[in-house]
Amino acid sequence: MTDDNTSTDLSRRALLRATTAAGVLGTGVAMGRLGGENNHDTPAQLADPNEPRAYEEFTVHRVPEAYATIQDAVDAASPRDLVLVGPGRYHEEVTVSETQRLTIRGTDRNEVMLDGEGTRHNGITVTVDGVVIENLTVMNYTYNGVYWTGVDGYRGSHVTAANNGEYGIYAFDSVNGLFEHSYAAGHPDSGFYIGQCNPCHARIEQVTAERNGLGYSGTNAGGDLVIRDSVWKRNMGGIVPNTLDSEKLAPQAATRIENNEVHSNNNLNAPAKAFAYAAYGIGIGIAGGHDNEVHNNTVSNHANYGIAAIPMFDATIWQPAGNLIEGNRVEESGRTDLALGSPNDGGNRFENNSVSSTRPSWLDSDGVLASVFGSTGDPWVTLSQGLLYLQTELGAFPHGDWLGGPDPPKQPSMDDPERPPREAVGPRRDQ
Amino acid sequence: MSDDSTPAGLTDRFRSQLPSPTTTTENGYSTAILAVVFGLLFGVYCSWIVADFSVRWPAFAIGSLIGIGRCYAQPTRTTVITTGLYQLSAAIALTPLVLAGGGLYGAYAQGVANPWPTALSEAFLLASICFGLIAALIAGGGALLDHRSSDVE
Repeated sequence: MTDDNTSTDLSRRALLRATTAAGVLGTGVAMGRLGGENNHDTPAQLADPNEPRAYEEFTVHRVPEAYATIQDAVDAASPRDLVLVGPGRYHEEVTVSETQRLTIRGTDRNEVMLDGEGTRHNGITVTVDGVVIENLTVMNYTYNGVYWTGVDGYRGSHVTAANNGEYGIYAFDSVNGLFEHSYAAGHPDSGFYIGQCNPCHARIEQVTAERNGLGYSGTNAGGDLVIRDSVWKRNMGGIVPNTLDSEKLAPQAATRIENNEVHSNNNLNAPAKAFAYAAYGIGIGIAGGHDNEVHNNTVSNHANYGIAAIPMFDATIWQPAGNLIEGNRVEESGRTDLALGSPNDGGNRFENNSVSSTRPSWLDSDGVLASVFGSTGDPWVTLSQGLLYLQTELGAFPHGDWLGGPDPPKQPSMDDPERPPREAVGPRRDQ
Repeated sequence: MSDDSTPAGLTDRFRSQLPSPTTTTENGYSTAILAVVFGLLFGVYCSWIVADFSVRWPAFAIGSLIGIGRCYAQPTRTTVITTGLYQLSAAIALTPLVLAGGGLYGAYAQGVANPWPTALSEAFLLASICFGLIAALIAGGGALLDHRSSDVE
């Protein structure tokens, strides 16, 4: 979840080993430092930004007509230019580290492919502001498909990411962004990821994630961060905002998850890392997050829990707090439709959801037990998912491989690939 | 001794075979309350562990009835406690099995092809050992109480 994926995994493994085991024994609270304080003041959603404005002056750099490689075109480009890539399979890594507000666009989403061949690290890495990636496919890289880090302004539109070794479409330590009309499949960490930002001022919408470890993962990310109108299916786990000590800005807080279709995230053949396996069979899981809003989603066919708020065992035990789960339709869950784990830091509200079962029993009800126990959680929820994580520490766990996964299905291309490039995101209305 | 051939004798014999109601022993009411508490505890625990199967309330009712019945049938406060501890330890020992069963039940219900590796794993074995130790501790407490009680008598 950082640049150095390997070291992060190792440190996380070391940190979690003891606390997870302790959690299984029911003594985790006594052994770990409890984390609960909020560090954010931006709500989960502000008004959407204005539409991105088209650039008036720009140059089109055509690949392969004028440049042999995409990187050559990028190196020759100026801010606001358009690198327009024709059909073909490009065996290269592209880095955008100098030219702000550049657009890299394929002429045909399904025919323009960057292929890492299982040996190159990142398909496209962006470290400058305002860069847009559009209408192409990125696959078979050992780390990430498309990767923005430390930027202000980013957008991935009509991007297909498939069978990369970590994440599909990934923004880290970045703000003011948008992932839209994109597809991610076959990633062991997650198909879509936004991490370490608060406020993020970002949107994920009209995307599909399937056959990933997690459909969405968002470590320590929130604050005007909205995930909506998207499909999350057949991953190991669905949408999982989460808190970890290994990244700054913990705890994760204030993400709005709205109007998504989330189903059948029980895929034991999906490539998955340990953290993803721990979320097996959960549609929407808030792992140690605060003040998130889960609203009006349709969640169905999960082996464990439809929507769950559970503590996150790291060096700190991050407890979910202040989350609002409201107006969702949850059905066909193997264990229960709604779940609140223990320990939690209170203030978690489950209201007006259409469900048939909950853990504990008083969630989403106005009965006597609800008035007595309030937002007391159920350790069973923590135990059931904690055992999955513990298994990853003790031995093999079921999962598929990222390399060699099926080719992604054809996806709709953008309407007019020749149109002028536009800003990554429009001006915010709250400024 | 009653004569079994007479109705009164048969009644006496039948009565003698019934469990001794705690209310007729020393400390009657407090022992009965203890039986109810242990029975309800057993019922609550049963309902908690089987909630994944959507039988929370039936499990509570049946578990409580069985638990109260078994405890109430004990003649002394001590045996009520030991029985309560024994039945609780049995439920705790079964917890990992029910936990894994809930996962399998849910997975098969949602069409997961082969969920067995999620249930039968090293973590499951470790959990079984941990819960087994907790159960043994509680049962051991019961046994100790039982033993001391026998010594006193």
